[in-house]
Amino acid sequence: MHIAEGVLAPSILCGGAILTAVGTILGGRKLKHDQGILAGILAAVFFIASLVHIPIGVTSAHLLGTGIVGIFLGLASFPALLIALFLQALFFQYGGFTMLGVNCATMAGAAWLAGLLFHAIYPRMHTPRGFFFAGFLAGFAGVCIAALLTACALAFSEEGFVAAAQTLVLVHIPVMLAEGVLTGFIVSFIAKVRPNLLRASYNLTETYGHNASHSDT
Amino acid sequence: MPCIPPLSLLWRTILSLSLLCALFAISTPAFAHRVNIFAWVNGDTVHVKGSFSPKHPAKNATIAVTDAQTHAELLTGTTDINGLFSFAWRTLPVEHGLSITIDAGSGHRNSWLLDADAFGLASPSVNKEEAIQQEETPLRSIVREELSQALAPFYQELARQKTEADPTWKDILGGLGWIVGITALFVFARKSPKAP
Repeated sequence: MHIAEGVLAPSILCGGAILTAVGTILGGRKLKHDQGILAGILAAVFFIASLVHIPIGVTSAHLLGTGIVGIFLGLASFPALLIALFLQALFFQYGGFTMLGVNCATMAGAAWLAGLLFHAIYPRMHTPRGFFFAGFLAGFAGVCIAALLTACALAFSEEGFVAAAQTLVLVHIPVMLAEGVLTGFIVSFIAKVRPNLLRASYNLTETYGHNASHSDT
Repeated sequence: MPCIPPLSLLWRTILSLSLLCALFAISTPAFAHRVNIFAWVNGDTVHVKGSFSPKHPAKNATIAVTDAQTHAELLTGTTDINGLFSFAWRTLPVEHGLSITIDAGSGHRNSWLLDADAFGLASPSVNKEEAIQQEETPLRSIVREELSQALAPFYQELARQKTEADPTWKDILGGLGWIVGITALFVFARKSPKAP
C-alpha cells in the first residue's frame, strides 16, 4: 500500500504533505516524555511489519500494523509513522520521498481513526472476549481504512476511486483478518497484564494535555 | 433461547486460523510493496519484465514506452501472465534512448531507462578509418545477434538481482537503529516532568 512516485498529481502530493504536517505537529505536541519510548517501539513495529508477508494463494501481501499503532498512539501516530515511512523509503525503497506526505497521511490517518474506534468500544468491554473483539475491530479497521484512504488518494489518478478501492480492499481482506486476530490477542494480553497502558493511551488519544491520571511509573 | 456452549481458547484459535488459511487460499491478486521493471535488448526486440518479487510476475500491467528525452509516447502494451512484454525497436526513434514505464495499478509504478548505447547503434564517427571499422558487415551483425542472445540471460539475472533484491538484514537493523536513535533524542529533548 505504498504509492510509488510519479503516480499522483502535485496537488494531491501537496494536500497529503499538509495533512501530514498538521498531524505531525498536533500529534507531536500530545506525545509526552515517557510515551516517546512507546512511540519509538510502535514505529519500529510498523517499520518491520511490512516485511512480514502473508501468503495469499500464489502471492503475498504484507502486514501494516496501523491498528495497533493507533490504539496506543492516537494522533501521535503521525510523527511515529512519518519516521517509519521515511526509513522504509530510505532503506527498502518502498514508496518514495515525494510520496511521503500522502503515504503518511493515509497510514497515520487510518491508525488514528482505528484508535478512535477502539477507544469508543474498549471501555464498554468487560470480558477477555470483549477485549479481543475491540482489538480485532481496531486491527481490521486499521487496514480497511488505510485501503480506502489510499484509494481516495488514487481517486484523482488515471485509475479512479472505485477501481482502486475495489482492488485494494479485496486484496487486503486476509491482511485485515490477520491483523484483526493479531491485534485482538495483543489487546487481550495487555488488558490482562497492563490495563493501565490502554487507559493511559486513552488520555493520549482523547484529551489534550490532561495526563494526570497517568500512573505508569 | 438455545444455549451455545462456549468454545475453549484453543478451539477459537484453531477456528480463526483455519478461516484465515481458507481466505488466503481463495484470494489471488498479486500485491506487494513495489513493482519492479527490467528491460533488455535482444536483437531486434526489446523485452520488458515486470514483477512484484522473484516469484510473482506483474500480470496485465500497462507498459508505456516513451522517448527518454522528449517524453513522447511511442507505444503502449500490456504484460502477459509471465509479466513479459516485447516490442520491435527498429522502427522507433531510439537515438535518445527509451524510457519504459510499468503501471501495475493501485499506485504501483516504476520505470526503466534503456539508453541509446543499449541498442548498439554506432556513434557518428569522426574519420573515415573509424567509419570503415564500424561499418555494418553481415559477419558483424551475426556476431552481435549471437552475442546479445547468449548474454540475455546474464542481463536478466543481473537486473533481477538489482531490482528485485529484498531488504537485507543490514537495511532492517539500520532502520531499527535510526528509530532507536530518534526515540532517544526525543526522550532526551522532552525532559521528564518534575514530580509535584
